[in-house]
Formats: sequence, structure tokens, C-alpha cells
Amino acid sequence: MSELPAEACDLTVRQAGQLLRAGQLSAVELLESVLRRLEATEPRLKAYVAVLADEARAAAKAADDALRAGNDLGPLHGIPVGVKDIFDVAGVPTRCGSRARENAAPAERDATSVARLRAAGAVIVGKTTTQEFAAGVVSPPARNPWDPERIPGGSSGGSASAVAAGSALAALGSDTGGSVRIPASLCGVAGLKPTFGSVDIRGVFPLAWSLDTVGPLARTVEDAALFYDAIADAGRPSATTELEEGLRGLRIGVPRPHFFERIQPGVAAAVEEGIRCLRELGAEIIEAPWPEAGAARAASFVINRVEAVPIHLEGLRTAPDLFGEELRLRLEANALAPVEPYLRALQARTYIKGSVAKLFRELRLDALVTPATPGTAVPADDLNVEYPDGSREPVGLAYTRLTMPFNLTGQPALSVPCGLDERGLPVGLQIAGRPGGEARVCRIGVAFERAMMPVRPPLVTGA
Amino acid sequence: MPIPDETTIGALASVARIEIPEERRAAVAARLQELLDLAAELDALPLDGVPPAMRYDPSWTAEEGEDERAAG
Repeated sequence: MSELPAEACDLTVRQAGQLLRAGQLSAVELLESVLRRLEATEPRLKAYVAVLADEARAAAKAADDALRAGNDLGPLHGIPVGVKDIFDVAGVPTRCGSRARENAAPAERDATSVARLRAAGAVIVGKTTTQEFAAGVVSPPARNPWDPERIPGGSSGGSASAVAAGSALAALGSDTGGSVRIPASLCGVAGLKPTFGSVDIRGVFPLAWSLDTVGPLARTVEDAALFYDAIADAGRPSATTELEEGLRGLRIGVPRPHFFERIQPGVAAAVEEGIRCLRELGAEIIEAPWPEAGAARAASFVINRVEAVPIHLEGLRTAPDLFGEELRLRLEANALAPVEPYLRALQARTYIKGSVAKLFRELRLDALVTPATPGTAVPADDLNVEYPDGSREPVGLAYTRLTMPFNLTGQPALSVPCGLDERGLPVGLQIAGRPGGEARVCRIGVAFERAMMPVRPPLVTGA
Repeated sequence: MPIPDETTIGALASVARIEIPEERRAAVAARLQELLDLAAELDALPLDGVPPAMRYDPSWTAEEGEDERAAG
């Protein structure tokens, strides 16, 4: 086993699992390490909205008892995880980051994915901070462990912040327009948006019905793959079957120009270095222009915005003041949109799916690689990405620009840490594969992360 | 497509049975314009005859009342 971190809460899921099974660490000790880190970092990071310490301690003890009795539930057994607060956890209100859910009753049952985590022996630490109803990329009041004056991204920002900080070893998130990949990129962790429809979404508060996906955030791609296997629907291909196979013989496309236009120089430099690394690892790098990429983003945006409206229409009519400003503006505007753009976006979805399938087929691609976000984490008091030409782009448009195309097509897409920019902030590399190709995407991600120098954020403590 | 102005926003809100105070209408118009601008990017795609990505399954599930009569 490679050199282990000093604190148990900084272990990967794989490392923790090995120590648990060797009897060198107990689930209780692991959880207590996580809770100590949580206590130290939460005053600044606010990654959690509810900490379930008592329940977690009981679950950790049960995990230890089960392991001693020879009942090993798999790689997540005894692993402390966070759950984004749009997922139902039995006995806990699902508040979705909104005043509109302030008086929500405790959930009667776990969301399906949460139940699967428990069945796999995971220990639920608490509910993590989410952008209101998952509709945005900021996740207030959560902050980024790399610089607590900056945002963690969103909408699964609390989950990403917790994993990066060590107050969870992995976490559950959702991704409708980038909400796993964006915070993963900004917080320097791995985040997987799996193929649309591969993980049951029952018990997850919806954002856009034809785009919502459930996915993991974790320290490593390997951990994300293990997590995905635990929550994926029966019959879905495993994400872990190719993790050790390396990149020789793989063909990886680089879809310029859309994904490489208007990005910060630090992001561009890190991603180009990442592409060079993939080539050195044995992959064939192929220029793979995808002219429909911009239209993919546009159609994804329209569907994302319009499908959210009926979910919240009653609230918009009867109690709009309970919504935060960002969501309220979004709902008010998109409730007035004509129907034609949405129907056209649905047609475009069919056409664009064909275009990317053709790209993969004709160039015999295993994956596409792009920057995950055009910029790194912005300050919490200035929510704009700045570019060298002096232009600024609101984060809601900027951060989703490169992720939304793969929500439209439904392909699996992973964000893996790809170094730091000139300010020392994490950059994410997005790897998008064929539908059902989680194993191939994770194979590329694992080879890449092992070749890159892993870095952890400085420990942030105190208020 | 005409840029929605505050008067248009007010009229559309009335049709949608939503109250949007006057002081909010400029911001709402800007957000709506954002969606319309992106939607306009789809005009360049050759979508005539392309079916929308939606599929309705008319078959009845067991919960919905499929029974022995379905065997015909």
C-alpha cells in the first residue's frame, strides 16, 4: 500500500477498506477521525446542514460488529459518507437548501441510492449543503477548502467540500447540468456523472426530469467507481472492471474548438498538460471536432430551465418570497418562456445524440477529454469568471458551459483533478465516454490520477 | 425574436397566473432573454422531421390494472 496519510479521515475508500479488513483501523475510529475533522473545518466550510453523529456512531459500531462476524458488505463497508440534502434520509427532513422546505417533515424512507449505500455498509455522516433545490453552481453558504473565501461550486458543493476537507471519505451528489462535476473540479476531487438512467432517482428531489442523474464525489476515481457500483441499478455494467488496464490502445478525442474557447489560461495550461500526460501513458490523442457541442449546451440549458418550472410552479404562485433570489428569478423567467424552444430542444437532443455517436464511431473513440470548467473557483463575493480579454461571465453560465452537453446526451462524464492554476486552485479534466461506458471512463481517470501528483488542500480550521 | 420588455413580462405573467412585481420585471426579462438567446442557437440545426427525444409507453403496468383479460 502506498504511503498512508497521518489522519484516518484523509484515507481513500480503498485505503480505509484495506486497513479495516486488516484490523488496523475500526469503523468507529475512522468515523471519529472524520467527525473531529468536521468539527474543526465546519465553522469555515459549512459543508453540512445536518450532522447525524449519533446515528453514524451506531452505524459504525454495527459495521465493526459485522466485519468481526465475517459479514463483509463490500468496499463501502464502514466508510463515512455525506449525502446531498436533496436526497431523502429516513427520519431526517430533506430541506433542499430552501426556506420553502423549512418545515419539511422527516423523510419516511431513504432514497433508493441512500438505501443502497446503507446496504453496502456505508456510514452516513450527515446531509451536505446544496444550492437551493439543486438549481445553481454556488451552494451557499458552503466554501471551498482550497480557499474558504471562494465557492466550492454546485450544486453538490457541500459534498465536494466535505470530501476535499476530510469530513467525509466520499459523498452522494446529483448532476443535472454539471452539479457533480463542477464542484468536483473546483474542489480538486473526483466526481462522476453516470449514464442517464443508471441510478434510480426515487427519493431525490427533482430538478429536470429528463436530465437528473445521481453520482458520487470521492478522493479518487477508483473510489468513485466503487461508490458507483454500490448505488447503480441492477444489471448496469460495473465501473471497476477495467481500472488496472492502463491506456495503451485507447483512442481519446479532444473536441476543439467549443470546449477550449473562452477558458482561463491556468485551466488551459493544466488541461493541455493533462492531455500530454494521457499521451505519455499510451493513449492515442485524436483531434475530434464536434460542431454540435455548442448546440448541445444550448438545448441542455433550455430543457434544464423549462423542466424545473412545473416542479415549483405552485410555490411560485403562492409563496414566491420563500425562494432565494437566484431560483426565483430563474423560475419566473422560464415560466414565461414559449413552448417552441423546449420542443425544438427535444428535437435537437435526438439530432445531437446522433452527432456524438457518429463522432465516436467514425473516429473509433473511447472517450472525449475537455476541461470540466472554464475557470477555477471564484470568490464568494464576486460570482463571475474572468477571462484574459477582460470579459466576465456569470458563474451560472460559465461553469455549466462545458458540462451541460453531456447531460443532454446522457453519456457518462467524469471530472478528475488535473493540477492547479497559477493561484493554486484546482483544475478539473472532464472525461466523457459512451453510454454505459463507466468502466472505460474510470479506467482512463484512474491511470491519469495515478500519473498526476496528488495534492490535498491546506487544512482549514476555526471560524 | 423581440426582446421581452417589462410590459411584455407583465402580460405574460398574467397569462401564467404568476405575480411579478414591477421592480422585478427587468431582471426577469434579462433571464428570459438568456434562454431565448441560447434557444436561437438551435435554429442552425437541420431538425425538420427529427423526432423529439420523448417516448410515451402506452402499455399498462400491473399496478395500473393489467389483468387476465390482457391475455385476450
